[in-house]
Amino acid sequence: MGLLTIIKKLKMKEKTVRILMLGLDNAGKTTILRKFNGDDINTIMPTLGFNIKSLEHNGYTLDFWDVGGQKSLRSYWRNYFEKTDGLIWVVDSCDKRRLEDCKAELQLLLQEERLAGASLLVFANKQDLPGALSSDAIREALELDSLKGHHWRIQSCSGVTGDGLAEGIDWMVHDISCRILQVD
Amino acid sequence: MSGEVGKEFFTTFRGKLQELRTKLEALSTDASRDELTKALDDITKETAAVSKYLTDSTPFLPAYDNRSSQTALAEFKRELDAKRTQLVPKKKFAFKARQKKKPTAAKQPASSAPTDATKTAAPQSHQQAAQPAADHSKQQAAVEEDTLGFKDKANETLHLTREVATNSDVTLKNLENCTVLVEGAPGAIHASNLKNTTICIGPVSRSLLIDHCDGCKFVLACQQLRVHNTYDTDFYLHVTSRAIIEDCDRVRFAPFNWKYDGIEDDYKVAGLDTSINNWDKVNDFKWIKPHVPSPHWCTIPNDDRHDAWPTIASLPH
Repeated sequence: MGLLTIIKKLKMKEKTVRILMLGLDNAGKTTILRKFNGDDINTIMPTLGFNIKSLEHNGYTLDFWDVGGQKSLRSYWRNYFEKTDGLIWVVDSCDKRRLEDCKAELQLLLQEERLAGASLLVFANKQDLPGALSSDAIREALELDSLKGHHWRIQSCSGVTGDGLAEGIDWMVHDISCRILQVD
Repeated sequence: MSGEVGKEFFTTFRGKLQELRTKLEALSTDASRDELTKALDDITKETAAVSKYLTDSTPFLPAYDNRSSQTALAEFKRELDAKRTQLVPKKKFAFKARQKKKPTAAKQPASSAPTDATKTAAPQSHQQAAQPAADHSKQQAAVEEDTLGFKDKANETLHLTREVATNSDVTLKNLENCTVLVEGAPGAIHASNLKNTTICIGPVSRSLLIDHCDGCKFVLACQQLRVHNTYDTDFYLHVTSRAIIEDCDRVRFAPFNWKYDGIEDDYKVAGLDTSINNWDKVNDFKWIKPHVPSPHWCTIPNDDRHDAWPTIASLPH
């Protein structure tokens, strides 16, 4: 317990959490990040590489790593796993054709040892578009209920209107802080 | 520290789970669909509370207790799901043809009267029993069907009007030798598996995703464009941020040049800036050499550009 206590206390002093945002291309990762930070979303282009954004939220410093989701970039995702406290998986709720791909990529990711402790937040994005699947349908399609070993939650949201973003991120920060920042 | 807390947790947790299980077993098909749904929802809610209790207690629990409690909870959730499928089977998904107003044949009648529910309950539960194995593939098919757009067509001219298309997510799939006209300002477009097809689309407020197209012509305006696995295809493009290609070859680009009545209004609805067009700044994700241009795409020479695109108004009635 000794080492763990020390680590927890160190973490608490920092109050910094590292959040990794992943998902297939066109899911809306960058849009969510920019909208949450209050930036303009009209100039966003498909991410070639990654974006980092550090912001203050409820007294915590959140370091967001938003990595491009194009197929040719996915093999680089693992370079960002280290020290991740929370994983945000963004889903395009209208992209029914690639739900299977989406599930496969997520499951591959969750087998990763370096992400083993991370809280998982699934954003069912683009809910403002008619024809979007509900968060329940996505929960079923991604088989989230069979997940073991991760604290998870699915949140419906829209990166364009900003609906649901704060709820999801509040949950994630709370979950992470309970897990690693808490002192007994 | 963990001993006392652990014991208390264990008693509460097991007790609560047992209580829920008793409630669940007490449910029977005698009740109406609405009553059952409500009862099941209540149990689901309480299960979520138990689940939260377990998550909150995790830091105080020994690893073994934690794991066995997780297993017990998962087991109960499975029972709950099974019971739900048995008592209130999901309504079958049906094709929502928003455009053609055909009656949907496959829709299950909503059982409003309690007597009705009792009558149908027995055969339904029988049918459900054999279902779980096939459930998954069905689910996939079901989520795909409930969308606006066109699929599995050949040699046809298809169109969507402003009233239907604006703000919607439009899906085009498995089309061959077709012409597709979408006027209005759609919210998003997903196009896949198109062959020798001409597609003209009004200003899209956000993103377009194109996959597996061959020998097509796209005329479109949007904020972002992503093209995957596409060959021998021409794009007449208005893009305000950037177009990207990945796993493509022999794709060509020219500026957007489709005109139809009311396109200016559609531009306003979509919120696209008409003064910015980055049609010739294409990022190729399969060519990351900064000083050598990608060999996978080029611009369309001026004298090779097409501009007599059809509009819905020009179609024969």
